[in-house]
Amino acid sequence: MGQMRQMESSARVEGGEPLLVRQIAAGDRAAFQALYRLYFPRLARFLDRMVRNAPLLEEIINDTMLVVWQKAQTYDHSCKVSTWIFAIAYRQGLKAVNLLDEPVESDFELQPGCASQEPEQAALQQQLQQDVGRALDALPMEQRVVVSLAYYHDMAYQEIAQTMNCPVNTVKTRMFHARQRLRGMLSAHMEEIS
Amino acid sequence: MSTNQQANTHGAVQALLPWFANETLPADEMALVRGHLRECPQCREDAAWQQRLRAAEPAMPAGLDPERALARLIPQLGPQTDAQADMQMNTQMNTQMITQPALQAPPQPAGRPAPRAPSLAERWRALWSRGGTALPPLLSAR
Repeated sequence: MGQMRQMESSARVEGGEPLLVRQIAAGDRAAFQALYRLYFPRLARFLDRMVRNAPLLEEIINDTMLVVWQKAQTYDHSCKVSTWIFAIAYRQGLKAVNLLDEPVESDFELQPGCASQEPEQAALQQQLQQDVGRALDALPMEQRVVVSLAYYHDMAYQEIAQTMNCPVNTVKTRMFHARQRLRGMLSAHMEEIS
Repeated sequence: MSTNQQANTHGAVQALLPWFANETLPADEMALVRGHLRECPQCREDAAWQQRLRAAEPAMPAGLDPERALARLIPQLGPQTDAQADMQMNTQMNTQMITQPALQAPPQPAGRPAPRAPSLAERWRALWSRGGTALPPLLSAR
């Protein structure tokens, strides 16, 4: 996973995503492969929170990037490349959730507790990450997506509204309710490492 | 500032805190939040809590392989023209900093239509059947 994070960082340093999309629009496969490798880890992290079905993640990422390949000519620079691609991924994720026909929320309280006795900070951090994951899974999907995009993909509220095709106020309201629920579920766990 | 104004500011800042935390607020809203945080311990505590939550992103599931997934996708991109092949050569040289060795797409004769990409449902059906697991109800009903 460290290598994937490194690939994400280098993408931000390069800053050539609009150029890559222009090249892809002209049929450039090498540009497509470059963009694919840059976005695979970001899309995996995002779609994992949305779909919660690890074996299907690569398929949904491929569906997303196939649309990028086919529709690159339609990218009009009215938003960031990342917002455009995440909006495609969000729609592909919604399709996957509907096909799976599974409940999208889980019950945080009913899942097995994980009171680790490990004293090390690293173990506590790992435990917290698992608890945060379970708490996020207990949120309604729209709230989960907003939290993921704001906290873990550093998107502005306008970008999230574009990605989810909804008003900015809806984004803020979803985030507000999500924070309240997360706080209720995680308050005891968070104090352990604060 | 009146009590009502303070309450309004507090509510506005509360809604903005997630984007204060990820540093994407426009300058005027960033200044509003910073000013309010100096005098509101509740919002300061909330902002710190959100930073801890941001630092605790759940790990990605194990077993994902971008190169394996990309190799499955390449054949679905369709045939490549000579001009596109030339452009690919140039891009490969220009993006060495951010690309790993590129995968070669299997050669396809010009003019042949690209194979139809299997639908998501078809691929999932194949995935489930390979694993010997029962189909999800929605798919098996089709």
